[in-house]
This record gives sequence, C-alpha cells and structure tokens, in this order.
Amino acid sequence: MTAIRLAYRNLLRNKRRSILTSLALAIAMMMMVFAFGMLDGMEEQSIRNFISYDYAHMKAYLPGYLEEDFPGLDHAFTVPESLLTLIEKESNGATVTARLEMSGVVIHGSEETFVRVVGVDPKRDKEVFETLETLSGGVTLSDDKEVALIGDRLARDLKIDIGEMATLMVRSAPGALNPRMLPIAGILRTGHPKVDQFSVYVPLSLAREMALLPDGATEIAVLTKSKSTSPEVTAYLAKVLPELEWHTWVALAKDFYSMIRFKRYGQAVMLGILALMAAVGIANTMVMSVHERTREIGALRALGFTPRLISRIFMLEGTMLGLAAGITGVILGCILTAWSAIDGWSMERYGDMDIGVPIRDAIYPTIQPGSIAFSLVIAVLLALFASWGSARMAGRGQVVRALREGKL
Amino acid sequence: MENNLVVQAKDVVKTYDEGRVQALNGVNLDVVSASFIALAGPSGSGKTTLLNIIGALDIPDSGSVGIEGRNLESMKEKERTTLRRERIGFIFQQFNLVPVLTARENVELPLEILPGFDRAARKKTALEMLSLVGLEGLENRFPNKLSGGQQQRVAVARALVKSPAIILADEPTANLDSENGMAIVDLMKKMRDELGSAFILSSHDPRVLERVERVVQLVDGRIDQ
Repeated sequence: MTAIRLAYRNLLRNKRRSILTSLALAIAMMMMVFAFGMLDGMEEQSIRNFISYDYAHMKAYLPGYLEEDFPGLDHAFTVPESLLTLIEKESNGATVTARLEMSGVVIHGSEETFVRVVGVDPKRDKEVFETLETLSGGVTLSDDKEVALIGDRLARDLKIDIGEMATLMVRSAPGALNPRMLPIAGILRTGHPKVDQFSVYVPLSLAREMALLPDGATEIAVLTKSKSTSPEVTAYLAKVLPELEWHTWVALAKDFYSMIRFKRYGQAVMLGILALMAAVGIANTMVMSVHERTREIGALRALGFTPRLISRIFMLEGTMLGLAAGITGVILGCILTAWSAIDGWSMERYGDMDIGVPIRDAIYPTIQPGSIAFSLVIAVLLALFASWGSARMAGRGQVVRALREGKL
Repeated sequence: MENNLVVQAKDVVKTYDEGRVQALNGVNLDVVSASFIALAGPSGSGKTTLLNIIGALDIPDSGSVGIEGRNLESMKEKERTTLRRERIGFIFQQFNLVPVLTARENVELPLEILPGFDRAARKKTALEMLSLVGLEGLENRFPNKLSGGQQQRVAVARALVKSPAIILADEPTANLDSENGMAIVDLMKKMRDELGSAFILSSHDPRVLERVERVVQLVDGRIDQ
C-alpha cells in the first residue's frame, strides 16, 4: 500500500512529464487497437462473404479438383437429386446444392472478358447461398428461363445493362466451344469481388446443357445449422461419401487466413517498433525520476525500506504509467475504431485490384475484447520492462552516497 | 551502567578511496540510553562517517560497533535494514521529507513498514507525535507548504514515531536560522525527556554544543580526549 501510494503520488508530482511520457505509449496502443480492429473487421466480413457467396460451410469436389490451376469440367461428376437428398439427410437438416462451374468468355458488343460461369439450381442455391438474392437491379434466376446474372463490375466493364443480350461461350466437356446468346436478367452486387467482377450465373440446367453434362456438377455445397458444427459434419460426410473430397470453409479459405496472419505479424512488428520507441521514453522518464530522487531514496533506505521495496515503488510507477497509457490508448483506439466503422474504411482506393480480400466496398473495423486486453497487457509489460532497469538502480544504490552526494 | 549501553564502538576504523582517505582512525565511543550528546569537530573530522556507522548505514573497515548489544559487523544487509527500521531514527540536515506526502503521512511512513500498526493506529500515533512537536493543525500540509523549522519538526516526529533506541541527527540545525535551530535542539531534548531515546547529534555550532549533555570532539578521525 505504501509503495502504491508513493508511486501514484510521484507520478502526479510531474503531471506534465507523466502525461507526455504515457501519451507516446497511448498513441501506440491506440494504433494497435485500431489496426487489430481493422483486421478483425476484415476477417469477420470476409468470413461472412466466403460463407454467403462462395464456400457455404463446406464443399465437396472430386479428388484433385482444387489442385488444378484452372479447375474445369475434367473434374465434374454426376450429382443426381437423390445424392443431394441423401446428404441433407445425413447432415442432420443442412441445406445442400450442386453447382457446375466452368471457365468461359462473355462478349457484349466490342467488349469481351474471361469469366467463371456458374450453373446454379435457383431453388436449392437460395437455401445455401445469398448470391442470387443480392441484386442491385433486375430479377433473379429461375429454372424455366434461359437468362444470366452478372456482377455489377463485370456489367460495367462490358458496358451492358439489364435486358441487353450477351454472348456466353464455354468449352463443353468434350472440348467443343459452345456459345449462347443470353439476356441479362439481373445484376449482382454482393461486395465479394469474385462474384461482382468475374462471374456469370446461369440456371444449372442451362449450364449442364452447355457443358454437355446431364446431372453434372463440379461441387456440392452444404450449409449446416451452425458454422461451428461444420468440422464434425464434414468429417462425417467424408466417411459416408468417401469418393468425394470434403473441405470446411476454413480449409477453403486457407490462403486468406495465411494472408491475414501475415498482415497481423506485419502490423505487430510495426506497432511493436512504435511501442518500443514509446517504452524508451518511459525508460528515460524513470531514469530521470530516480536521479531526481536519490536523497529521498537514501532517506527511505535509512528509515528501513528494503531495496526490494524501493525497486517496487519504481516498478509500480512504471506500471501505472503503462496502465494509464494502455487505458488511454484503448479508449482512443475504441473511439477511432467506432468512428471509422460508421462509414467503413473504403476499399475504393484499391479500384479493381485483387488484394486477396473478399471485400470490395469498405472494411468496417470492429472492437474485440481480446484486442483490448492484448493492448493493455502489452502496454503494462512494456512499461514494466522500461522501468525495470531504473527500479533496479534505485534499489541497489548505496545509502550513504545517496544521502551525502545525491548519487546512487 | 553496562545494561544501559545502546551504542558501543571499539577501535572503529573507516577509510575511503581505497585507504587514501582516513575518515575514522580508532574511535571508541559508548552511549547510554536517554543520552543527549553531540559529535563536534570541523568538516572532514569524521562526524558523519561515525553517525553512518552507528546508524547501520555503513560498516567499519575494522573495529566493532554494538547497537543494544548486537554487533553490526556480523549482520547482513537485510538485518541492518531491520535494525534501522525498528531501533534507529534519523534526522537529516536537509530534512529529507518525502515531498509527495503530507506531514502526517511522512510521520506515518516508518510505521507503515513496521508490523503491528493498522491504519487507524498509525494515524493516531502520527497525530500525537505531530502534536508533541508543536505542529497541530499542520498535519495535512505538504513539505513545500511548511517552513524549514516546521519541516525539521516533522523530521523529528518521523524519527521518534517508532520509539527507537537511538536518534541520529546529522547537522540538524545547519539549514535553519539560529532561532529555529535552537528551537529544534530544545525540542529534541524535550522529546528525549519524554520518550527516553538516546540522541546523538553532529554539529559544529557552539550554541548547539552548549545545549547538549556531552560533547565528543572529533579531530582527524579520532576522539580528542
């Protein structure tokens, strides 16, 4: 209690110096909370987009499909309705759909571009993905109409609008080019660049007809009742249907997770350097504090304070400085994060560039309790580390010299 | 008489700078309880060094020092710290109050590191001590809001609050004007009368030396008989 009171009062003795010293660390902590908030927000949105528009909770392919640079119809397989019903039954009420994905070219006037053509079962797909319902205009797909949906960025690049005709050309399974003139029924705007910029969606029946693959599909997507159960359901389905390769959404997003991990490391290094610089400031303040108080230290030792108690006073000062900086930094970081989350961190600056994140409009940073706790712990540990040397010096000084000469 | 000895120094030798400076050269000194004595002598005569050794802040190169029968040379640093905490009080020339604590908190400080004093007991004892040294009503002032004389009174209260066997006062009046200086000496003498601690002062001020019961004259690290 004595040490805490002395440490606290000594910090208040030089208010301006204490504030300035802790401010540097507070700024580093603010940046840490904000940076992690950005990454957490990015991760949350990405997971949502992956599940809603791309991976569902799990997918099944023929073995080797994902190893191909340009996976195509070589790895298509027959998916009768009965198989989907069986999977639904075995996966305890999950929703299931089949998709047939192939490479193709879409042409409108003088514009043409390579795309991924995705054949979807309109009825089943809506139970698993949100893609077909995320329209910025027009109507969605139905089984009985030979129409296409395209992403809004693709529509912009092709200079095509709803109701206009586009030529979609795919290479069928036997290898022949198969063109088809299709009206654009609707334009998708999901926020997932892969969908909005590179994809054309057609009814599964039409895709199968163009690929010359009756009942063919390249993947089966499953949405379980909860994403947390997907590993168990995946493992179970892999046993029930071992001829297919089953992957959870986490496994499918492994490149994304590597990228996020790399970004976290990178940011941690940058922020670590910033925090270390702030810690040097604390170390400097603590050394100054010890030198200013040598006679006081000597007097306390003469009164019977142990070297350990003297050191503890200075360690506590550093800890309080770090805690104050950490709390200030966390509060500022939360304010900055919350403010940035109002309109989001615009991705427009990256244009059409693929930065490996399934988000195209804006990243909305989030505040995670883990990041706050981490920042506080880092601030306190850095402050402890920074004050350790001066605390040791204060405890080890010679009493007589401290009293007589004011030196330790 | 032997039973009342609180300090017994025998042939104490202390050198600095690897033996080049001879601070004490065979000092013998006995102090009984409730003494009020002064170490006198010019600067460099060894007054402060002797006080530091008696106060367990330093150890002699040779000779022996006993405090209430316990030999300092055989004590470890931790034991000397405990001895200071429990049995020795210090009054410094520059007061050395903790500037971030009030007068009462400064006086409470020695009790905070002693067992057996809860918060209420500490406060009560400190207030009583401040009252004894004439600082009633100034308990909540910080040192920078007190005069030099008042600060030294706080220092006296701080030294006495734990009822030590020995009080060591190194030039306690040197930073005070003569009126305040003599008032502090008189106060210390009064406290000695009330509490029975032995006071050992160092000073070269003749007016201080007139007020003590015994003057031990130090010259070049020796006691001048």
